Amino acid sequence: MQKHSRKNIPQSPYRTLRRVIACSLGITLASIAAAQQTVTAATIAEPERPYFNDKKVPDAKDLKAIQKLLQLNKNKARAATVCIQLGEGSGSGVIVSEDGLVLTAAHVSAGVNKEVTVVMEDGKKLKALTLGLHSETDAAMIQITEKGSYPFVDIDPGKEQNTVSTKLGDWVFALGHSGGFDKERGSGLRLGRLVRIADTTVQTDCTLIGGDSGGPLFDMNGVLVGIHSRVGKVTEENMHVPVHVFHTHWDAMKKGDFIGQGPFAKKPVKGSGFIGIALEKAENGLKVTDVDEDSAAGKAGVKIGDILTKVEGKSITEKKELIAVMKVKAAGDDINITVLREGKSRELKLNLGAR
Amino acid sequence: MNTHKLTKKGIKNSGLGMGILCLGLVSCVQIPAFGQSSLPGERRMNGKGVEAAFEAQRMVLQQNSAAIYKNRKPIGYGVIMSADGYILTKRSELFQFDAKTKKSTLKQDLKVIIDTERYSKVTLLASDIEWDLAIIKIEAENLSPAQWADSPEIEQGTWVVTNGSTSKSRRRVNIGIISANAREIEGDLPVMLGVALKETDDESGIEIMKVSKDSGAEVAGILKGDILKKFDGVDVTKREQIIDIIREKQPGDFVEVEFLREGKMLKQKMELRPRKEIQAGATIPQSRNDQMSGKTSERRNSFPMALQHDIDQAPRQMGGPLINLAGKTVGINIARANRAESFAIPAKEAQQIYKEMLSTIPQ
Repeated sequence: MQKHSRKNIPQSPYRTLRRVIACSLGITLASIAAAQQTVTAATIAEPERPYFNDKKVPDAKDLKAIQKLLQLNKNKARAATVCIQLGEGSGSGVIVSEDGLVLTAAHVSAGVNKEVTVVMEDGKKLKALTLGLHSETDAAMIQITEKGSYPFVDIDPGKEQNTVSTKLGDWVFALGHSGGFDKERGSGLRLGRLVRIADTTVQTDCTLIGGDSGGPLFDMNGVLVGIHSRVGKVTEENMHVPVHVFHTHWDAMKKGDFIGQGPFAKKPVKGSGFIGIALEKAENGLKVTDVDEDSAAGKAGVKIGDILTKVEGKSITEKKELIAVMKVKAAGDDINITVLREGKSRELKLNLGAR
Repeated sequence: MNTHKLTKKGIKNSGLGMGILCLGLVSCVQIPAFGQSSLPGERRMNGKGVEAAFEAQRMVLQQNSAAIYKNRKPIGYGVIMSADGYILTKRSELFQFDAKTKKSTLKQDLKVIIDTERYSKVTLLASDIEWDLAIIKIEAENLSPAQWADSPEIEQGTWVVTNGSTSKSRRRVNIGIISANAREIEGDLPVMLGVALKETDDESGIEIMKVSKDSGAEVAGILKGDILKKFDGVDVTKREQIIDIIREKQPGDFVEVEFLREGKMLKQKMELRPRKEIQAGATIPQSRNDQMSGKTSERRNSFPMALQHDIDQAPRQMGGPLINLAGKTVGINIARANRAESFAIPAKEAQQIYKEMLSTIPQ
């Protein structure tokens, strides 16, 4: 990898914007910015490259310097690290703008324009919507839709692999909600080095596990350099999507494009959704005669004997009306139904399974 | 360990995070082969060059911690507590389980190595199943006891060092950082009654819904439908009351229960037996995270308080000290929970439990 000094890196417009935001955040979120109280608009500088990154191996003194910088920068990084919950699974993500833009992995968001829940470190749950994704590299964006001023981190401005600030061997740290959200534990912090660099993947020895996917990888200054993607069989193999991949597809992802043909996310196929109920015609709708417990209907609590009266807000009397709706829905889509049970009308939301 | 060699086709990867989608990825995702941009093994976290920076800590482990062997194979480490050979270690690794007899027995012919000195007479003096700690004793003098860290607080991001794979004469370090909040690690209690319980609707007691085979409850003649009224001398109406009482018990302890059967109050003593012995043979499905983790500690949860760190150790490397850069012991390694999470009992609690166990040893 070629050497580049920080000075030569072209400035990204995002970076400039973030500097301004960082200042206002310093005022509104004093507790988070405590470590950076002295920073003002006039004095913000590129964080200095830690000297120990350029040593092949650390000595005893360097270990203390690494520890000091990690402890200084971990809190701000953690405040911006979130858990992403959808369906029965969960992954991680990181907030990169004050208004709640979240970077994550494509296999976590899994689709475009879907409702998900973002959980902050303190347990606060926020509504969010998936934006676009790049299915070939495992990059995705999510937008928190509740208005607010959120803690966020800076992104490495490098637009290409050879202009990013991190180099092979640099010390890095990872955060993520391993195995799902656990308020008592918080997100798990791991330290490692950048051990391999490829076009759209970097490898570190920060040990990852399920639930970390989509979580952030930081340089020792707390600047975001990657998003967790996948692991190999041995614990040394932990793969991340470098942030230059996000820069490359930024505008397309931001406006909600589903880019590429996988393998990290599959485009929804219309008509692929599965409800999991058997129906027969009844007086005031369609009577449920059987429910597959593991299906969308079973999970949403549909019971044998329920009368299906409405689908997506429209009254229904014939099976073919339901079939028509299903033809335009895909596995993973939500569908709203109304059922009549013991004389009472109930509205249920079903998340369609795959056929 | 050079595990970073890639084949031309690249390596198979497991996706993280979203269960159902990742299962699909396990077989289909091939990452591109990395070019020349690869860090030499010795410069990596577990590489010899990085480990060399921890020579001072390695010496502390070499001289002030015990390596425990069975048949020349390491089964764990221990924290030296006194000059005359008291050693604190992880309890459950000292026992072996026989699937046929469904009994745990103490491993025999254990050996201890401290620095380059070998000790062949090892006795178990006390143990505590709640914390999974034990005191063993060797015949020794002039050992250097562990120096415990003064402060119970240890900040996340603090370097921690522990025993890595070891040769008979030379220890190696394993390094990482404190990575999450110290907390209780919940899980199934290590001892069990062997009954399924349900609170009665009128809150008059707790109904026995099921009695497990080979449990103390079965031996005591407890039947489905009995209504528990008193447990270990306490009036009970909530399941949590019983769980709180069992939490403090050791295997082999008896509790007195009073229960209602067909209108009559009956009294009986019940033995609390290790969960492992009652549930032997039961297959517990492996989670996806366990599948990607490899071997984990058999006892890896249900600790009243634990530190979490990111050192990836083998289950046979538990029981030893977790030290900071100053060489002070901040905890005792208690479990490899998975590939990303390891637990240690914090210094304060470990010393407290050690004192409590000491008081149970007849002088």
